[in-house]
Amino acid sequence: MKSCVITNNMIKVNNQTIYSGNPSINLDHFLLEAYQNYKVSYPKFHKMDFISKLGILTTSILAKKNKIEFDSTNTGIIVCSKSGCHFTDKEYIDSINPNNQTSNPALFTYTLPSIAMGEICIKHKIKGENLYLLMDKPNKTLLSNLINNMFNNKQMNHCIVGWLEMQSTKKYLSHFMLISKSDIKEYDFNFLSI
Amino acid sequence: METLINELKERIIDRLNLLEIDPNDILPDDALFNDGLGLDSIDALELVVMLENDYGIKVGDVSVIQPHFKSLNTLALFIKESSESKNAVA
Repeated sequence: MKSCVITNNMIKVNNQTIYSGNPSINLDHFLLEAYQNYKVSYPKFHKMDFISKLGILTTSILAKKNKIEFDSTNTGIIVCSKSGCHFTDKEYIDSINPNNQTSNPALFTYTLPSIAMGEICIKHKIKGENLYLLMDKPNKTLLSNLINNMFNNKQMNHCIVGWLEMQSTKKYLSHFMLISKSDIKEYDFNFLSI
Repeated sequence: METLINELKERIIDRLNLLEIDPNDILPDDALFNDGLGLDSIDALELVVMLENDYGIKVGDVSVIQPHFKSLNTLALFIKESSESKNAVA
């Protein structure tokens, strides 16, 4: 099963560490370093919030390092999180100047939990089934059932499954897997935790 | 006007996080939206906030501002004229 994890300024692909950024640099710099290092080449990336940047980077590196292009119409996607976009919500609230009543439209668009999944779909042209879930921790039984449903009833041949969790710029985890219909029925996937 | 246009280039690149754009690549008559610089509707809102914060120009109806967002030239002209009319009133 193909996977990519980004956490603690480190990137793992298929369980192998491929990149370790300086742990003391801030998340902004680490994400930019990774973006440039893996030649993601997607200018819209720079306008995104941290959560969407993590999702874009993880799925892009998953595809690049496994030398695959996601099948546009037959790939489904399920993204799960505990905190959703709470981190961005707070950033947005903090950015509004109550005295001048100014706003931050670019950041406001990311105050929606599923927007990160939307950005992933746009970047990779994924037009298959998509589902965003909030849950305390990854529920393997539920996810297995949902994936099987995508394969058996929704004509999907592949499914991207991700746990995209951000609590702070030091506590974040983006873990995405690509599961194909030809993989074993009882998916033996384990998401990492923060 | 040239100074204002150069200033706008820097501010737009900074505010809209256009990290991969070189200011020298933006020509004064290039389209800002769709083709050209490729800005979108959210970028338009950010430009409205920029006009308010950096130039003291309050935009009541966003549709009215649309023609002025065509290019750097039209935007600079709008800012210049708004500033002159404010000074004239004062």
